[in-house]
Amino acid sequence: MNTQLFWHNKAVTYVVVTLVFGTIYSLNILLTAPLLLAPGAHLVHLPSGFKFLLVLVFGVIGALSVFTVSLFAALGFYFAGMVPLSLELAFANALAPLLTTKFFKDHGWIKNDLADLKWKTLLIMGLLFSALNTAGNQMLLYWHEMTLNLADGMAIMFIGDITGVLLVFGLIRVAISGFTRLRKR
Amino acid sequence: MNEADNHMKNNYYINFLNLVKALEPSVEIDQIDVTSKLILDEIAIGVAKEKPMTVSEIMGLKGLGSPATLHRKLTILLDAKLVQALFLANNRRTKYMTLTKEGEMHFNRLSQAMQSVQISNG
Repeated sequence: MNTQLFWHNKAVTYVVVTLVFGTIYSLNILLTAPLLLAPGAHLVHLPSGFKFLLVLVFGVIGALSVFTVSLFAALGFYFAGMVPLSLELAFANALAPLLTTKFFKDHGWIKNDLADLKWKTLLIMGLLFSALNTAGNQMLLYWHEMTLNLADGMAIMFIGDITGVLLVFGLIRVAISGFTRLRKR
Repeated sequence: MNEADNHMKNNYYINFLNLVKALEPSVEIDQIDVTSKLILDEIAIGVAKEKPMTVSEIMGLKGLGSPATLHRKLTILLDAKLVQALFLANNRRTKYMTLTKEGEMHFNRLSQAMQSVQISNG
């Protein structure tokens, strides 16, 4: 595929990002199903890290992809047939990373093109994103009576989100460092 | 907002490159060995005198180590993004070693630390 097309055509960006995120999400469901400790809450949730990074890079297009994948995952796997809940959860999932980036951009802590972005800023953003994502999802689940213990759900999901974000950051750092070493040889 | 500004605002590739840069592991100055720091000092002195050192001149600092060792240490400084090799003026044959913004910040911090020590000692 023409890479220029991917970076500059919003429709292509949306389709590719949705497919990539969908694949990551599906693999996570298949491989970590035993770690689902509370409704909608994994102990380690790698897609949360990818979700955050995709919205950071692709903005609203990334959020639309997150919305699409979350909606399909909720309707097809977690809460089959529950359309209102699935829609609300998909909305919450897309809104959490979008609000996090907007908050940091509005305060001037990160630039629109992410220039001069620091590792520490990313970690703080990851924390805020995890808190928003957890609060949004778990409150909706509690409201729809899918979970009876809000505090437990929140705690598990927050741990899953934050470990997911940190693991994804860590994996990317390892990949970059490996790639740099290979290039030097 | 004109079209160029809008294009830059939505340039996902630039966002991606900046994100990769932020996630890139960097070497902290405290992790750099003594020989590399001595080379960094020599480069900074050259920059301060407005006579930046060439790579060959750095390789010739025999008091600090063999050329192979110095080359290795120079690579550490380049990887840590404290120094950079630049062509100056129209001379495209010789590369000069200068400090990067991070390198300059390191010496600024040292200078501030020295000043605060002098103030505290009266």
